[in-house]
Amino acid sequence: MLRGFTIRRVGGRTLTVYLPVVFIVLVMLFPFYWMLVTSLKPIQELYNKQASPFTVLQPTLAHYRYLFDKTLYLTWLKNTLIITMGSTLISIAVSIPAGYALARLRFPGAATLGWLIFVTYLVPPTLLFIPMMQLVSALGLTDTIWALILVYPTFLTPFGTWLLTGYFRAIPRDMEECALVDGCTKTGAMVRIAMPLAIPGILSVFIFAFTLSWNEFIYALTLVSDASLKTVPVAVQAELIMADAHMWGEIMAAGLLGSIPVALIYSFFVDYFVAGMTAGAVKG
Amino acid sequence: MTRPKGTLLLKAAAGEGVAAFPRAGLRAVAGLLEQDRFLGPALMVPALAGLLLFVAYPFVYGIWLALSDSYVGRAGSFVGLQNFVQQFRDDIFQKTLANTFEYTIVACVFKFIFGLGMAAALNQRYPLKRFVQAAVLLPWIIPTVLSTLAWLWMFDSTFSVFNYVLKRVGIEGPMWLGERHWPMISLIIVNIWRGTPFFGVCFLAGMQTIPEELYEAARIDGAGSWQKFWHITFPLLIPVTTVVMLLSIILTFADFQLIYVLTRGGPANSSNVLGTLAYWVGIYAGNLGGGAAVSLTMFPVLAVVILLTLLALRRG
Amino acid sequence: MAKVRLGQLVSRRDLLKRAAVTAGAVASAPILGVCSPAPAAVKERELHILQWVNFVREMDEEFIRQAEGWGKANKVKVKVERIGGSDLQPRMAASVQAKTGPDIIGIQANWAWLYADSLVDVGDVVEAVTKAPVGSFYDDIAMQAKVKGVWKAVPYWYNPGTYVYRTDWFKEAGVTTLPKTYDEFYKAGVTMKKYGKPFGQAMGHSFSDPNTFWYAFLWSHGGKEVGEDGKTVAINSKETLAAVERAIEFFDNVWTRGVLSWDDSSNNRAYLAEELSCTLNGASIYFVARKDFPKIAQNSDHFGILAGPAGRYGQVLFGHHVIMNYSKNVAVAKDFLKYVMQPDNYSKWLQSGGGYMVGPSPYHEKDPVWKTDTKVLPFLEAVSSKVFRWPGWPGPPSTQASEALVRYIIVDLFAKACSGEFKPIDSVNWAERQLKGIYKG
Repeated sequence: MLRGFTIRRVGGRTLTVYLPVVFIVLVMLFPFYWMLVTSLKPIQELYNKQASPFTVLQPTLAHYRYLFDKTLYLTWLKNTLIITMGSTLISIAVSIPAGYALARLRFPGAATLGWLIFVTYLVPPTLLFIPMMQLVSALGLTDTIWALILVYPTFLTPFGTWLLTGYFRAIPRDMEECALVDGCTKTGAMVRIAMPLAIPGILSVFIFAFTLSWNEFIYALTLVSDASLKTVPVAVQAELIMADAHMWGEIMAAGLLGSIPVALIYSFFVDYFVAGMTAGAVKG
Repeated sequence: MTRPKGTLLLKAAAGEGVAAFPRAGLRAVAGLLEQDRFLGPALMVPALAGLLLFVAYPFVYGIWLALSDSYVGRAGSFVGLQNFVQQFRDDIFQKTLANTFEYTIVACVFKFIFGLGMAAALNQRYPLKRFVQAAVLLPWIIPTVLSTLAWLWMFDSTFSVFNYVLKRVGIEGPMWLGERHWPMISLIIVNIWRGTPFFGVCFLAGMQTIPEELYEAARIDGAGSWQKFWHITFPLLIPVTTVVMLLSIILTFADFQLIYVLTRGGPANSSNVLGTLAYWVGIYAGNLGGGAAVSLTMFPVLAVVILLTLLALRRG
Repeated sequence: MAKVRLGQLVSRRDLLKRAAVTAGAVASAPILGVCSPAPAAVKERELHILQWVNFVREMDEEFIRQAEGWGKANKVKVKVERIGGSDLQPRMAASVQAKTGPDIIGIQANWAWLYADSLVDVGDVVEAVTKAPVGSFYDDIAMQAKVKGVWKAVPYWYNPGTYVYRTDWFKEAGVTTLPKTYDEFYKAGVTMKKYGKPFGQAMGHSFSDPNTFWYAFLWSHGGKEVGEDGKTVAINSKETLAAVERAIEFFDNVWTRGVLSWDDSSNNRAYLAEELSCTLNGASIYFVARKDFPKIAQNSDHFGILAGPAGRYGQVLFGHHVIMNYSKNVAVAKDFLKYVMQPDNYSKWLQSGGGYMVGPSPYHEKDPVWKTDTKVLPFLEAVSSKVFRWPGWPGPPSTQASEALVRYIIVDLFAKACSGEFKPIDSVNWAERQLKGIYKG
């Protein structure tokens, strides 16, 4: 090992390994550092062209305090959490049986139905939002949290079903077949045997759905207008523009705080997340 | 076996207060649910019902809207293809259509290239590997609106941090969001920043499934790094590439948040994509029919891409 | 054996439950969506008001103070919701479309015309507001609020703009007389740009500043959106072309960089960052300077609306209150508006703004707020000199003018030529096409 440890070798590794990796990490994370610095800058430094944008001389928590005292930020966080959890749970509850059916059961039209669910991606929210407004209004759901809780599963379920179909298929049939022989019903086998084994998959779906739901914008923008019902992404870009000016300190603070739930969940479950992302791509 | 089952069920059902179900009926249902051809569709009902109500119905309704002269506050009447004819003649729409293609194609090509590079760079040995691999995915994880707001401030016409740095080396930075072609470039830059990790991680996962033996064999045969990449890595990544690329095209083509926050489609409607234009026409100006027509223009392109994706998945 | 049976029970119940939840959610949604108020006897009255976020925070705080005070005294639960100015219009459109939302909306400009069919007749409120000693409204405000002879809006405020400028830099650069015409303004601008502190004017899609400057610019150079009949599109004229060419000269030689993407806040920030020496704006720049950047405030003052070859015209933001006809609290809403417009209450609100807003009637020109700081007097002068016109002038306010306003046709007429996207004549032709599309319908 030490034999190969020449200066040239280290230099080579620096060039081909360390430098690129550091560069990539810097480029990917720089905007977040930027958000942090800006959120801590007092107004005088913020709007001073001479001040260095990279450091803050007199950090202040004033922007954060403003966020919590003078805006509905906590309400927006609460709304986003409720909507995200609600829609995520619904989509999981719906994807599990659907995924199991497509993976395990043989019935006419199975293949077609599977494709049909996937084909939902043909109609992304940007295509549907105008008629969706009318539908939600006809259901009397405009300006309610329910509007989003019920509508979000439409783009969460297809991916969840697809993912879970893959996971269920990957589970060997033996255990379920044993259970069936022992007198278990098919639905029993699904719930008691297959589901516990597919928990990694279910977790992936949960995390993915959570992230996608937290990230959603256009439905939240068009279906809910009441300020006290808004989600964080919509509220941050609309409600923090005051006094002829964007309140950049507050906006960056809000952005950072609003990213934390997703970042936290992500950091605890990175592997599940990556597994979810790559499942479709790699396992195909 | 079935009789005790039925009795217990009945007792449970009674216990839950659902005593109305006749024993025979319940047993019949129980029996049906044992058969795939009933259980299958039954399990799919929630998903299908939801999608029918909240996807299929709005889609059809959207088509009707696009063929009508509906305005906010006024009911519309059927006007045929009038909205489409008008929009294809309109300068703003033509520019928007071109923008959407430019945005999608350029961003996806670069995301592909950078994603490959990222995967190659990360697929080596270095300290804190797990942390690094988790950290680089953050741009894709963090809500787009929130990170785009950071870019909005970074591109600010007065306080841009990029211009600050450029000024230090004597270059006059551009008006990132205000001058000629720069708004589109800025949009593409932010999209690339956000989307590259998605490509990178998928490629990385793909690379990690390539057996080490292949590289060993190649090394013994005298292949250099580039040859190893070109003859082993790249071909084996093609299935992943295809799926990831097609998915990315769909998401990029139908993008809304990034453009809305960064440029709002401006200046003077010169950086709109179909999603944001549909919003301006339909919601801002109140022309629901026109807005629905703009949205629907996305459909043919998405249909082609989805078809290709399905074919690719089938093969893979 | 028992375990298996338990499993069956769980699974079947689960299935049924799951199905019930989904079905129940969909079925109960309409019920949940509708606010279920308490039984009529114990009902507390409610009032939901939507307003923009005022550029001067203190005015919003005063309004809320009055609203809550009134609410307590009259046993009404008042909810004041605020939204950014640029998002106000789509919010209103959504409410109109869904037939649900705020009871009172603080609208701007000529939106009363755009949404007239969805608004309540407020003639009785206007009558109460305009009786002695207040008297009638300014003509231009009244024209926006009275749609085809019916009062659909209660005028609320008048937000004039003037040019804030740096007295110290003007002196140093040798600009000794304040510009009164666009030509003089141009010459001063060229000088100041050479001095290193240029002027700047927004040309982006923002509801306030761009419209304020560019509508006035068009009119002052003789351009017209539509004829006096309010129907014939008249934008394609040699005056308009000359105005566009003049705008390009401003773009090349006077404005600072980046104005094409500027919104309402950009010139504020640039001025307070000491980048600009002059810009057209409401008094908000000066007020923020007074509070946070005293050095800038001491070296700033205002001059009035400029005149062009065709006359002296301004465009300005008016605010009105409307009551939506889907509202179930119309009587309450009317009472509230009468309260807010009572001379004493209204004066308190004006004073909280320190001269940022002007009242909708000449009566309020006598308000004590104008005695607090001489530097804001040019704002009053702008109003009393009656230079302000409305979008769609010289035609009457109309739905079409409203649509042209929210689609920024006039702003883009200049922006597209300045950005180089169109040659001047092509930009004029483009604007004509767009306007013809709007005015034909």
